[in-house]
Amino acid sequence: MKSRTRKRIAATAMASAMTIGTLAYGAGTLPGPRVARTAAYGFSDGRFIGRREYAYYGFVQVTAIVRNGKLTDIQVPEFPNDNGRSRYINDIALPYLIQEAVSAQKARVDLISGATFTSAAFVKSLEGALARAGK
Amino acid sequence: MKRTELIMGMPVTVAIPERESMDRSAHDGRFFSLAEGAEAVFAYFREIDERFSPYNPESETSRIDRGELRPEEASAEMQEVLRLSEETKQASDGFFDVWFQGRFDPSGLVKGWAIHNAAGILDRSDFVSFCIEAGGDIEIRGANDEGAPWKIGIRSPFDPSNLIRVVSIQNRGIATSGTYIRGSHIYNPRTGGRAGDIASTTVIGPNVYEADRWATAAFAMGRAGIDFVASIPELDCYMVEWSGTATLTPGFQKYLSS
Repeated sequence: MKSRTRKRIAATAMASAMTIGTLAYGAGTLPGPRVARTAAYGFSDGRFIGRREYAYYGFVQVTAIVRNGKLTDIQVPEFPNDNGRSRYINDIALPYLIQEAVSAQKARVDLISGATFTSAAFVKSLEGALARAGK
Repeated sequence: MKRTELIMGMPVTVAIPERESMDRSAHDGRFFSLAEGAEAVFAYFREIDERFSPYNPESETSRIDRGELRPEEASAEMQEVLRLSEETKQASDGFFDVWFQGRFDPSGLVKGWAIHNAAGILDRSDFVSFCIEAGGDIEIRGANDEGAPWKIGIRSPFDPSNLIRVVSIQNRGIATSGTYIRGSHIYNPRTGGRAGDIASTTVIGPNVYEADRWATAAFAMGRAGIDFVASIPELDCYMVEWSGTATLTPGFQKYLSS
């Protein structure tokens, strides 16, 4: 069960990378669909490193892993909020936190809060990595 | 009315209910139409981008970074950002620092600060209800088109086409820090260690400046982040782990729609 969940997450993360461009930037400045189209073509096998892209909070850089001509994995050696500034902070004892399982919701909302800044740079860096993998 | 422009490399959205144009006609002083209100916000963001962008070699940020501009000689806005940065650095136990390995980059603070200031422009022009969103962080005033609290969706880190929660907010700020990339592949490039199990951290605070800086700090702290946020008055937090579990502070529940 657990491994199935993880696989599903991996798959959705991958799918996300393909769609974020159009989602977050509906006006079309970031060509999300182009990534998906390129991904359908055969790539050379190997590891391809995208350019570092500025994501306002820091830099994002992805490595595309291609096996048998298919994009099989995306690794992120560098991403914002991880500028090496991380430092252990002592736990503060607060016993009243509540936990719940995350579930998807469809609802009409006025606006959406989410980490869109990471996505744009992510898509750009991935595009660069795939361009290098292209035959 | 809802308008979006791409500024500072991210979408900036201004939403103002149509009834504001009627409510405001009774007010004295300078009158902005809804469109002019939105344009004033976009103009402010363009100014901020020019002054603070680390990508613009002529910006004050770049000139301070290269050592060409002494911080004490910078503009009043930059002085304020430097003062707030110092304050945040101390409050976060040295974690949040605009100086890193000799480089200067205040971006982590500027976004929330700029959204909050832009809201001040509309406040001073007698707008009562509006939302200003930049890159997923939002300052919220008054009520939405239906006269109800604004409904804000929290985007799923597992699938950005889905929401995982909806919160109802009136006069607060909300910010989410995170990534849409599976946690197991995120490594700290400097230490080689795993950066964390946390997919996203959402903070609701008295304004978007507070929400944004603590969401940023908490996200990078990993699991300890939510405890850190909970220890600060007036802040509430919703933390999502890659395992699919969410943890929330007790105060966060009052914002949740069923």
